[in-house]
Amino acid sequence: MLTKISKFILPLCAILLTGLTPLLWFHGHLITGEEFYALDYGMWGKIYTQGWAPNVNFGEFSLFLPFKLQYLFFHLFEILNINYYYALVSWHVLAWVITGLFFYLFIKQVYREKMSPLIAVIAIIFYVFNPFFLNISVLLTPPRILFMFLPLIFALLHKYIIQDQGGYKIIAALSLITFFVSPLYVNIPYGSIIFIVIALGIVYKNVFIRTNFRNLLLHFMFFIVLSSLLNIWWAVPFVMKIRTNVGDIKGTTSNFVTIAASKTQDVLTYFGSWAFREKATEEIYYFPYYKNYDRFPLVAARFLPFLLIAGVPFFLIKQIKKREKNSESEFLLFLVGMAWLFILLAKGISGFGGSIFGFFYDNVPLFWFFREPYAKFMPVYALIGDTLLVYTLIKISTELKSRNFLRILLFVILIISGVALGRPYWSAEVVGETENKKISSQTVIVPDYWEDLRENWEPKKGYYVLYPTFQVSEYLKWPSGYNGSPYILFKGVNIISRAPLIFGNSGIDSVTAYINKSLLESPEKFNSIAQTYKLSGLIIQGDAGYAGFAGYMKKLKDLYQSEPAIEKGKITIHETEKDVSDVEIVPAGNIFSSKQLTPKEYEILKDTFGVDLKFSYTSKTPFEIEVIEPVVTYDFEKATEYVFDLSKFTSGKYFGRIIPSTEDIKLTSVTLDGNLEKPSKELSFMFDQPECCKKLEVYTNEIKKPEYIKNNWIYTETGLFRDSDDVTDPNSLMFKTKVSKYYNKISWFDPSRTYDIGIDFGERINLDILLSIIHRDVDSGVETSYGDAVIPAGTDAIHFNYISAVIRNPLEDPDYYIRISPYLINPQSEFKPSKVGVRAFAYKDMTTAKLIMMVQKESQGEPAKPNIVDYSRASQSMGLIEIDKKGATEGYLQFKDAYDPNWSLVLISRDDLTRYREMPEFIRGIYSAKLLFGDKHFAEHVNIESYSNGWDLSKIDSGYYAIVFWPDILNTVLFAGSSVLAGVLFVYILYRRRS
Amino acid sequence: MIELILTVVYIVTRRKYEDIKLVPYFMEVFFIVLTILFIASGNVSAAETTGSVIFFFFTLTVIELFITKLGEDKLTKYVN
Repeated sequence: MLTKISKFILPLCAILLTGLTPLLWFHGHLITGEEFYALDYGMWGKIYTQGWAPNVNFGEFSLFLPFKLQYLFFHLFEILNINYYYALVSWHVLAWVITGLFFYLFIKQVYREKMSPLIAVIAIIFYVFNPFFLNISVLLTPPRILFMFLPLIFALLHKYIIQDQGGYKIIAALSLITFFVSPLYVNIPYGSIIFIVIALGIVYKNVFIRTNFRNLLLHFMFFIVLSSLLNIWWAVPFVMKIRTNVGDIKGTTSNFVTIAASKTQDVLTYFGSWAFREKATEEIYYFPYYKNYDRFPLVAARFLPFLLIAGVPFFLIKQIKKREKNSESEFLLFLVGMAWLFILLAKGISGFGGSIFGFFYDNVPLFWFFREPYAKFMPVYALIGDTLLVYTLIKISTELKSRNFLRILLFVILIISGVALGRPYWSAEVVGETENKKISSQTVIVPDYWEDLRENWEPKKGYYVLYPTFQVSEYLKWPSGYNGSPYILFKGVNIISRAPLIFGNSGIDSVTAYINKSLLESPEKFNSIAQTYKLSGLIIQGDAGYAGFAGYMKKLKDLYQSEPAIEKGKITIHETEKDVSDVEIVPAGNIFSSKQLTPKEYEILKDTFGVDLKFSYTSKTPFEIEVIEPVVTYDFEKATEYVFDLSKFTSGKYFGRIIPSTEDIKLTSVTLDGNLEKPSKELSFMFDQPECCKKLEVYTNEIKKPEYIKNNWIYTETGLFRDSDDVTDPNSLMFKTKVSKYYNKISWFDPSRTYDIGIDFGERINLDILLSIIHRDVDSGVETSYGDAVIPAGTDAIHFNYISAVIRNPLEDPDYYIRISPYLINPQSEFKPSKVGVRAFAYKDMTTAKLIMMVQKESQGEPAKPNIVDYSRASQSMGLIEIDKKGATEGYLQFKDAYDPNWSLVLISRDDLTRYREMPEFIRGIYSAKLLFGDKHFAEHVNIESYSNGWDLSKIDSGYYAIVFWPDILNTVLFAGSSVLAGVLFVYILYRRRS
Repeated sequence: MIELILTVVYIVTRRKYEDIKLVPYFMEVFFIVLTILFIASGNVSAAETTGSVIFFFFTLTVIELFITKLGEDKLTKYVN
């Protein structure tokens, strides 16, 4: 018995010792970093594991639904009233211990008694201290969960492959794992790895080992059905949103494509890590002793594991030829094949076999998801590699049975190698100190005044403009570094940050720009728009690290100094005078229904009014008109007139125009009518509500004979410069993607004006490039695009018309650039222009262009208005309202969360309204499934004020209504269903095992 | 493409010359040592090339393993 226990003691000690490593990172303070919500997983989870997250920029669809299980972990600590610090420590320690434990159980199952405790210790060290995480951040949840559960998946696949019969129970267990690992689906490529591995296991067994195509089909179907049912709760809402956003994701992610970043020898030398390279960017880990891993003896230690893995086929062939233990060799053969496949995939297009990845990347739908192949495929190789390592060590041990010294020497060398590769972990260098504010992970010391703000300030229900802020991760001048979300610094505060996530709602940018502009005009102006935009105040972050805002900060303080303020250390909060509401009844005259023009319609407009038709309108709110972006290629030197070629157009949303209100004139509902089908100089506009007040102007720019502004010839031809961050390792294409972005400053540029711009590349470009006009903040590096165009290879000069897109953001310094980068990242193509000439003509301002038509009617008096009797917000995705029409025949109900077609107004009974208010949140979520069958198609859903939801009240009666966000209801109901199924499967698997 | 041709050449050749089957293992070890030497001497681009060659020979050993496991007779039968 004692001997039996002693066999486990060494491995268990190794699991515990390596697993406790995260304890070394904490010194009484939180750590965050690339995982920028680690500062408060509990609050982040509460906000973002519901379908609708209302806290930023009028709310947005939440793609972080799959975090639900991780949230429950932190919620449990909240319920137990345990300090969040200990919850975070527990999360990381548990994750590491479980990683080691699952891995040990797996290799023990595969090799049983043949594996000595010392070999197990070696394998555990290599797996838990795998340098893979040094490419990203040790904190990131998706790769950690993948890393943690892969051994369990392979353990089940091992059983599945070696057994002759059945397999349904194992498939059920594998499906169940796809439910428990759900937090990793916030990163779909990571999630897909699980499915790829399981699918390959099923195929391997039923095609190569026990050829049985019937089983292949049945097992595959069983897995697909079960795992789909278990994950339907996040997948359905996700698909509802993503079906319209795939292009956006591809566009956003194309900025960081690293398919050639991992060279083959990096992948082979445990395990594709770039950690031991020179300093590349501030965000990537860097360890000053990296050169040691390029010198003896550590350079040999790097290759030692692969040398042993490479020995597996040699020993395995011998075993197969002796016809020893067939089932073991069958599984090991699977592992060797998988090792080869995942090395091939992890190194992307580098080296031998790179063209296979390249072919997949270019031709297989959605394969472009794997834009960072090392990050997604390396964890699988890390597991398999370590498992195969054990096999060779067992074989070598047998060979060296009589040579104990050599055997022990090898083991000691391996343990030292594993520990040496894991140095950044146990030395706690993976968690940066205060100086390096952008490293992937860092210690965070939240200043007292922020803690005070979080604990003691009771915010109002509306939005607070957070000033200044830029993006999803904030840059604050704290004693410690901080790289995290601005909105989880608060508790229960809704903010306007101009920092939408990838799926931020279109049109919101122009609204937030307008709010920021109003803010800088005067407190009166800001107060006057508060009700429209549900603004509760302004938060001035005196500790924000954006130096470019110093002038505006002073202006704001001067403007608002007479206003009452809440002071919390370096934070000043001004609140608007009135309480604001989610809902409002607005006259129909406030609604502008903009219609997207089809290319055909635009062509007709062009023929009718000239090539640059502009809509100008006066309203208290900005909005965008969607038109077509022209991109025409020809020699601008010879250009005397502008020619449209519709075949070369690409759609865009860049050329809307914002005209702030100068008068309090409200615009009526306007639609472009069917006359567009009959080209005519008398294009008519139909007014839905002629009795209300309105003003619409249509201008042309007469571009065929442009009148350039006198003496305003703009010319610049300068050498290009690259982003100062882009320095570096010329061998790593990861950085080439950034290096190949070239900037040419255009200080004369004003985005609110219209230009005729010509660009000379100096030579014919050798690949498709993306040309953008951008604003780039010097301090933060944040870039805002004013328009993009794809320029095909072979072009040497282009000429295009920039139509004024927005009013100039008063917050911006005039740091405008032409930015050029490869359109499709193809690292085999170099793009290094020596110079780019830019010439531009400024057109006359729009306001002086020829007025074609103006229609204006005066208000005919105040019509009867419906009344909101009662309103309450039941949850993040449900509002409850009672409306009394009081005989009114027109009007819209405005719901001031961001417009999304998935919002709906549903008729409910008074009893249900009461129930929804009183039910606990989860029960309400389930009960609200009833709404799916309610009457919801009666009221037209429109976008009001360019950002919010609205429903036409002329077609409904007085009564009780629920405003609901469908994906969230589906999420709650389906999660309940998936959880029940998971419970049933769990019991079924255990029950069967006992019997 | 050249790697693919070399792989096919190897598969064809190995059926005729039994001794060649050990070549991938030796070459793999040889290129691992060479890569280590290149990295240690700071010649990164040479290490990239030899690193890629290691994977090529690893590929051959994996092919060799699969052929052995699936059985050459069975494979020959499929080919014929």
